[in-house]
Parts: sequence; C-alpha cells; structure tokens
Amino acid sequence: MTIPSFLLARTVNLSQAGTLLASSAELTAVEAIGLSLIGISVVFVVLSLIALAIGTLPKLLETFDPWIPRLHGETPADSPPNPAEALPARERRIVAAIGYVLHQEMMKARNDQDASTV
Amino acid sequence: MDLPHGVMILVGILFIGLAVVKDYEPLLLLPIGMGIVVGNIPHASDMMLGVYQDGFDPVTGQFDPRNASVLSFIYFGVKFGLFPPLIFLGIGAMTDFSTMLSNPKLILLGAAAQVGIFMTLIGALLIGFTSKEAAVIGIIGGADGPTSIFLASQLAPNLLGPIAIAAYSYMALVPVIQPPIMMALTTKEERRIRMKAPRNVTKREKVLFPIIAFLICALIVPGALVLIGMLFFGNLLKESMVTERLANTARTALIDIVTILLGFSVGASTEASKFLTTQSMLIFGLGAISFAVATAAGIMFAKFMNLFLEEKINPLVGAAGVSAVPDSARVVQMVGQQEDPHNFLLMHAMAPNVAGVIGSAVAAGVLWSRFM
Repeated sequence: MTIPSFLLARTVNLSQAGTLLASSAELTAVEAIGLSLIGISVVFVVLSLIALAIGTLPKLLETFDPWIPRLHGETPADSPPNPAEALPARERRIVAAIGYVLHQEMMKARNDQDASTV
Repeated sequence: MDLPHGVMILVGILFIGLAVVKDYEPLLLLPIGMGIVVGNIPHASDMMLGVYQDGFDPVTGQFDPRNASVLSFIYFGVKFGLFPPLIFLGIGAMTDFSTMLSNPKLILLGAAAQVGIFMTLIGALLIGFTSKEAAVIGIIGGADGPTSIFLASQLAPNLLGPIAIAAYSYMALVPVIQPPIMMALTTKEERRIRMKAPRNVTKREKVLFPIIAFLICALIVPGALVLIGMLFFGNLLKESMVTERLANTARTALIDIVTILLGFSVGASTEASKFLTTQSMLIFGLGAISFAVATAAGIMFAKFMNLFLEEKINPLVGAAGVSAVPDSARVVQMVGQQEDPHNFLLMHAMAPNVAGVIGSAVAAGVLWSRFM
C-alpha cells in the first residue's frame, strides 16, 4: 500500500530510531498508523482473553466444585441454579420490569444525586 | 479583569448552570465550574493564589512552601496522577460486572469503541501535535475522565487542563452527542431487537473475575497496572463480601472526596492565559471527533457481530462501549425505548459499558508504554 504524500509531509520528527513500541522518539504518520493497529489489536486481545476466561469459568467451577472451598458466607443458593427451577422467561421479564420501575422511581426520589458518570 | 478571564468565568458559570438547571452530570460539572470561576479571578502574582504557583523555583528547582498556593497542593493529586487511580478504586467498588460475566461476547463491543482513541491519535499527529500530545488527545475518545487525566499527567502535563475539561464535557454531553449517531447508523428494525435475559452469575465467578481479569490485563499491558489494578482491587473489596467497610468507603466517601478535589482543581487549572489558546480549541474539536468515532465504531461492530450470531445483538448496545459509565448505557436504554417502550436494554448495555472502562485503561497503558 502506498502512503499518500500528504501523510508523509506531516511527519513531526523524522527520527526513525528504535522500535515501534520501545522508542521514545516522535512518531511519523506511518508509525502512528502502525502503533494504532497494534494498540487496537492489544485491546482486542486483552478483552477477548477476558471474554474467553469468563466464558469457560462456569464450566471450570462446575468441574472442580468438589475441590474448591466454599467462600465465606457462601450458601448453596449462590451455586448455579438448576434451569428447571428457574423462573419462566415471562415472569423474569415482569420481575425485571418491576425492578426497573422501582429503580427509576428511587433515582427520581434521590434527584439522581448518586449517578455520576465516570 | 480582562476579556479572556471574563470569558472563562462565564464558561464556569455555564458549567454550574448546566449542572444546576439541566442536571447534566452535576457531581462533575459543578466542582469544575466553580473551579473555573475561582481559577480565573485575577490576582497579584505575589499573593500565591494560583494553581500553577507550586513553590518550585523555575531556575534552581528548589521547593519553598512559602511560594506555593493552597490550590497547587490540591492540584498535586492531578499533576502527579494520584487522583485517577483512587477514582478507579471507587469505580471498582461500585461496579457490578454481572451483566458482563453473563454475556461475555458483549465485551468485544467495549474493545471496538476504543478505535476512536487511535484514529484521533493519527488525526492529532497530522495537524501538528507532538506524539505524546496526540496520544493524550486520542484518549479523550475513551470517554473516561480519570484515564484521560492520568495519561495527560504522565505524557503531556501542559495539556492537562484542556484534556480534563474536554473529557468531562463530552462525558456530560453523552445524551446530546450519542443519539444522533445511534439513529443514523441503525435501522428501526435493529433498534427494536430484543436481547435474551442475562443468566444468573454465581458469587464464585464474581470473586474470581477481578483476579483473573487483572492478571490478563497486567501481564499483557503492564502500563495499565495502576488503573486496572485499582479498578479490580476495588471490585474485589466489593465482591469478596468480607471487606464491606472498605468497599463502602471506596465507593462513597473516598470517591466523593477525590471527585471534589479533582473537579475543583482541574477547573482552577483553566486560567485564561493558559487555557484560551488555539491548541485548546483544536483539542476540543478532536475530542468531539474521537467521541463520535468511538460511538460509531461500537455500533458498527455490533452490526458486524450480528452477521455471525444466531441470537442478535441490538446494535444500540455497541454505543455503550465508550466508557462514560453509566450514562452511555442509559442513553442506549432511552433510544431503545423510543422504538419499543417494552424493550429493556440497560442491563445489556452495562456489559460493553464496563468493558469500555477496561478497554480504555488498556489503551492508555499501551500508549503510556510507548511514550514513557
């Protein structure tokens, strides 16, 4: 791929020393594109690994359940629920809706004072 | 009193007005607004009242506390990156990662939204900012105030004021900036997609998550150690259930104190002669672009994922991939309910929202590692 000349013309400092991730020199536009690709790839890799770990965690916990000590204050109710005992989807939706309305009303009552964006 | 200082005082009053009248992020905009007013009251230079009168001799570097203002001591926590990790501790102690744990694929939306950071980095470099400055401007797209301040304090302290004000302004304006982008990039049918209710998450998963996620992040991106470490430490305090007092302090008193000190001192750092510059205006412009790109990237990635998924994701949820917790998730809920009043997207949107916090801290770690 050819890099447009206007990109190259905007080079801030033409120092090419060092590698992309170790050099403290100013970036050229081409290096910035490389850094951006590496950067977003790293973000995806980290979050994908977290997603993978989370996805496999329930199965691992189930497999090793006999050998894992109970947490302080953990009750059998904290264990994964039996799907047959779970609420039907319709009732879960009703519970969620009631919870949402209660939440909204409580937020209004508190004038939203605790809802800072961070 | 000259015109620039007068303008800045009006900006401060505008921030206070937005907080008090419009209820836009009052916990942030009110301290920042008052700080702007305080920081722009003209005073004699020998009175030691300004944030930048830190007591260090510019020639010898010697510190003399008699030449330091009280505001400079408060600003110390911003200047040396002390406040952002403490805020992350509080965020960790108040965040429930359950929705993320119950639907791990939504985490990827939090990664996609970080595209805005890196696109803006390139843009800022092209219009003449130095590499470090470009990196710091890019991080505004992460819509994460503490991360922006942390990176600015480490890489470009000269831009700390404009970066902090831009980051927090755009976070406060999430309900204004995001909906038009969300409407433009999605069809009516897509906005009406209902998602499956999340599964129950066990206590063991909640306790193990901060440890596992911290190890993954810190081993791959050590630069994110401080922010990510404090975030997951706070979450472990909360989920372990054995340190309830500490968790409670972190998510209430501590984060409130730090928010007051950070907001006020950042506001006070916007003294007109340092703040009203072309550079600051460019930062505001690039910050807006960065934020818009991040929102669009999250939505488009959700649509891309839908090409391969049987259970479709409502693409609006992708917009919550920018951090701004929990405002961007609330905006998703609001826009979703405009199409279908019985569609509850809030809990689904919280997953990419908190993943975005992790993603922006990791992106900051990458940039810090590169430029430190």
